[in-house]
Amino acid sequence: MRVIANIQMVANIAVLFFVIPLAIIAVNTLLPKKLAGRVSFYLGGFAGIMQAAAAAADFFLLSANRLHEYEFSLLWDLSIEGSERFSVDSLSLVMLFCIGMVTIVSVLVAKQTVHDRKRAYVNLLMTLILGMNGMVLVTDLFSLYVFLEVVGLSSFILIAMFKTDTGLEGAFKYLVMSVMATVFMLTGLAFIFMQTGSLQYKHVGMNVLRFQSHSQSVLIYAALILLISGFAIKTGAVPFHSWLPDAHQSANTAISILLSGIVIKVAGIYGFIVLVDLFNEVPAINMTVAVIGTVSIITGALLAMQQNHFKRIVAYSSVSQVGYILLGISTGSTLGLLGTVVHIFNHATFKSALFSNAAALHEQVGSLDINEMGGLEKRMPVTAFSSVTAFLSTTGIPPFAGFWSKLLIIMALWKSNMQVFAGIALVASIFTAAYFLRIQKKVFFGKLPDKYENLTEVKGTVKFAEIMLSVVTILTGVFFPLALLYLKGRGII
Amino acid sequence: MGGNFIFASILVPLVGTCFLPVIGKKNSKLRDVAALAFIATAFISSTLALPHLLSGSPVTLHYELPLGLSFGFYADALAVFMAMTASFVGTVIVFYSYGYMAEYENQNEYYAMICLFIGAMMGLVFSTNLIFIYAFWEISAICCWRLIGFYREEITILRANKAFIVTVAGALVMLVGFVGIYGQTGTFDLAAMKGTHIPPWIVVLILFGVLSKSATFPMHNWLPDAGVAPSPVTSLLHAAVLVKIGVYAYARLFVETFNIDKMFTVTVPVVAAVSALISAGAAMKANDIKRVIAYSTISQLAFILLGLSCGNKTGVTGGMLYILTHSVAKGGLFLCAGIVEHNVHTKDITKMGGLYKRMPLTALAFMLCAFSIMGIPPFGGFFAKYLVIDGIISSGNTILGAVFIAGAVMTVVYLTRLFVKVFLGQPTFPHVKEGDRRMVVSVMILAILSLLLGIFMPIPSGLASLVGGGL
Amino acid sequence: MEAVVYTCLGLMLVFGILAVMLHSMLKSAIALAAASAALGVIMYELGAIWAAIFEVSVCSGLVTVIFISAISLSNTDKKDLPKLYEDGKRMAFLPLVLIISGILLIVVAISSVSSLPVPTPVAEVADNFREILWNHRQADIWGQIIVLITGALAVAVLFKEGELP
Repeated sequence: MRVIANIQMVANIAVLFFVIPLAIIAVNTLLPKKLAGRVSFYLGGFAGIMQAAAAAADFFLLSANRLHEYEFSLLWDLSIEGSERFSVDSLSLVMLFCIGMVTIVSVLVAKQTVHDRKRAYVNLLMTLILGMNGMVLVTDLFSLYVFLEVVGLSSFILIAMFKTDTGLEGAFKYLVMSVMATVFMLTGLAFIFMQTGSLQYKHVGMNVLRFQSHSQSVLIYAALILLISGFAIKTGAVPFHSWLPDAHQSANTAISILLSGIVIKVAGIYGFIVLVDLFNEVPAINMTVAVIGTVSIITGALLAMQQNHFKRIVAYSSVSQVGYILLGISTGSTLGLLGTVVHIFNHATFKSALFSNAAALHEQVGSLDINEMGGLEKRMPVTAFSSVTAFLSTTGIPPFAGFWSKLLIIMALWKSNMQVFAGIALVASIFTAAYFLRIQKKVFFGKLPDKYENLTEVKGTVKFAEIMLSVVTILTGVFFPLALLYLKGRGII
Repeated sequence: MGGNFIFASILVPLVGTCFLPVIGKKNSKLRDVAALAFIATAFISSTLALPHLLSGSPVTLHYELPLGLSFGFYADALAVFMAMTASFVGTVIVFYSYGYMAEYENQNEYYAMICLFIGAMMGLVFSTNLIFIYAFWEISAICCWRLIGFYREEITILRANKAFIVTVAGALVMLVGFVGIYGQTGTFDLAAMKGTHIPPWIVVLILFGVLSKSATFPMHNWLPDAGVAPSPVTSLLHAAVLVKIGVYAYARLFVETFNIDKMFTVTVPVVAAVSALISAGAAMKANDIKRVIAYSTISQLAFILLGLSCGNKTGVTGGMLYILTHSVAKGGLFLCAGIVEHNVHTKDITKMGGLYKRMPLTALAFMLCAFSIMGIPPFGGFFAKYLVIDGIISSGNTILGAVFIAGAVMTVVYLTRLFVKVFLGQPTFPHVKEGDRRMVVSVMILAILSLLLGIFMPIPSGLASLVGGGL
Repeated sequence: MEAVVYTCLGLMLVFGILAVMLHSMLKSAIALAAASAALGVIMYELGAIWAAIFEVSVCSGLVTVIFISAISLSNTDKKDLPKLYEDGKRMAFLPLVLIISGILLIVVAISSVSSLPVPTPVAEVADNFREILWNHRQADIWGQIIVLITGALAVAVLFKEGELP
């Protein structure tokens, strides 16, 4: 009896992923102007906390019942033949948790960096969350696309909304690349539809390989190339990475946190996971994703070494880390997927920490040009410590969390007979170390120039966000073996 | 079962690190005492593991984890030997730091990093799993980075970055080797893989890590450059403890656990020989007091690697003994150099001279430590050197033996040159006084210990000979 | 039938370019309406009746109404937008891009038109549209609702000149 009751709870909690953001939008819009300005961020934070809590609750419920996924619907009848459904599984719950966590951090930082249009910011944040939630919960490629469009539209508005010159330019570049991605994906989806007649995950996986003629296989390969290109644009993987640094640099830092922390992952990486999962019998798809990943790692790291703007360095670092995640996906094994998921979580954590540091530096120092800074750890110790933990986690140095996810990905690559990729990926970490050391030397680890004698540490929610994220990174790293034991006990690995 | 508490107290430094900055903000004297207490706890605990070891049942702890990982500690002869050496020298150096570091800022970070480093070292020598060895290895690299850059000058940060890049790059290549072992055997656990044969390419990958951490040619350049750090840091990290991590890994992996091809008993000594000769040559020409001693360290580490890699028990015992005597004596040498440059405010030996009149105790300690390094009986270093050369000759490599004897002669030459230039000759710096009492006591402890180790040689050599049981 | 489709494709292209390049927002909105009307005709000719109806009513009708009302509310048309770029420079690359993309499209069309398989027939769309929408594509409906909300927010944020809280 208890088991059945618990299972129903999964669906009831899962509904919250749609209901809460919609409710927040409603509340936010109906409040009078002045009150909305004061209360909006709290509402946004509330949504993030509820999302993270719901995801965690559902994860534990699912694993306690030893299920891997559960289907549910939102106000429609699941028993009708052929009806669409939403589905939660362990992977989507981890992504939902990350969405919640990054939302919380973004709201914390926004409280100090966003000074007007607060209500609109929170509303758009809610639609962004809705889009991302939808993406990970659907079971049909076309619905995936619809929610992807929601994500793209919301993020475009968020980048552009503060109407600075550079903001509009960055948003425009993002828009153009998004439209390209849209066109690619729709064409790819059309080709697949021509072959299989349905775009539901379960139908696509089964039907796609029944090649009757050469033209059909060309169709599927063309579709895959288009879909991979589309998702690669959304992820910011090489060679489609050019929009990422500009969008990050010009957007408000609270939005950069969202972009790098979760949007590129849900909009892009999750698409890759779906593709590799559905088409894993197509030869060469694993190798293609692996090559894209490896090139991203190296290019992102090399480009990051030459930048002088703090946020651009962090953006290129995202390009590089996305490569590791793609490598994990390309293995096609459970171990690889585990490494991928953990790296998605770790990346959300340390990338949000780094952008929080950027916000702190911007608030206190006023500029983000690293050539103007130096020795700031004397006056801003919390920011410095947070940046050291974030960078060490990025490089994959124990005992921080990033080490474990990188190790899992490397182990998975090795076991899937992709040893060369494993070796390159591991040794390329030294490039990450190189740009990290450079930025530490220029910004924090050195002598304080006289002009910064009166600098103080950032106060308030940004400081809280930095501390929280550092603690999460350290604790996840130190206690990771316990998490592995838990997963083994629940039969997930 | 009761022995397991030993491991908890060995890791006390790791946990204590978090508390030191907090304590330091309130009361700096309390922080100093706490740092000493944490590290002394590690020393006492590792000594307590001795009785279990000698009675034949070393203390063990083991937890199985999924994916071939495991978490465990094993207090065998090699581990206890290294732990006792590292923590003892660490304790003395923390005491020395009271005197040396008193006037600098960032002391909280300093003591925290030293404590973290000793904790990482303890974790590393007792670990039974390749991944945890790697984890503690990298934690020590973080400490090294922060400590070399302690003075926050442009040049110190550059040198710290260089040391980090070289050692971490080597460690990453080594990690590829570890994953290769995992690919072959499906586990990272050393106990489970005892006696397994591993192919040469994996050995080469692991050697990258070993050579970079222990500053062996061609990855040795970061060590003399790291002399910009405060002297206790140079002594602890770059003479006594951190640089021993590489040779320890060689002993743990290739002497105690895995089975490697015979050719490595020739190639590794050749690499060591080249390193020893090149660095000895550089030591004879350098004019910075810390650089001379640093090149000497590179040379002596090559000696240790030679002893451990020549493939017979005498060599291994000699190598282990050498680790002990070198840590004590070279640590002491750097601390003496620290007293000199702390009071004289320069590291250029051409500007020094006749300092034995101003700093008699320091000069005496320096001389005693130098004798041990040079290998003069009855100092401990003599016995270690003798066993190593005996080992290399009995494994058939007479030429290499001759090369090492040449290296030993060069050691005598450059150390004597250093002593003469600094302490003898025309007096300079008329207003300089003897070092702070705590600093002098520390160097005297290490100097006298160097002598005692030689006089009471059967005790340490008895423990050292327990290592390499498989040979 | 073919002639109508190709003509409308051309019209769609021309109106689309006009929508992007015209300076006056009002004229841009009207050009957009005309482009989507042409698209509606194409859809009708290809047999997607319901899609044509939705396209014309929503995009040509509803969206244009919203745009024009937003434009009139925001008074932007009355101000003189500063011309940041010379028209000549803006237009210079246009023919080149069009010609190259036209050639690419023709090459792709010719090489694939003979080898493309006949698409697997989906369930009869015309009669069972309502059933498919409500019973089979419910998630999409939620997606569309959220798109509409986002669009409304976007318009509110980007075009409102006044102080927002």
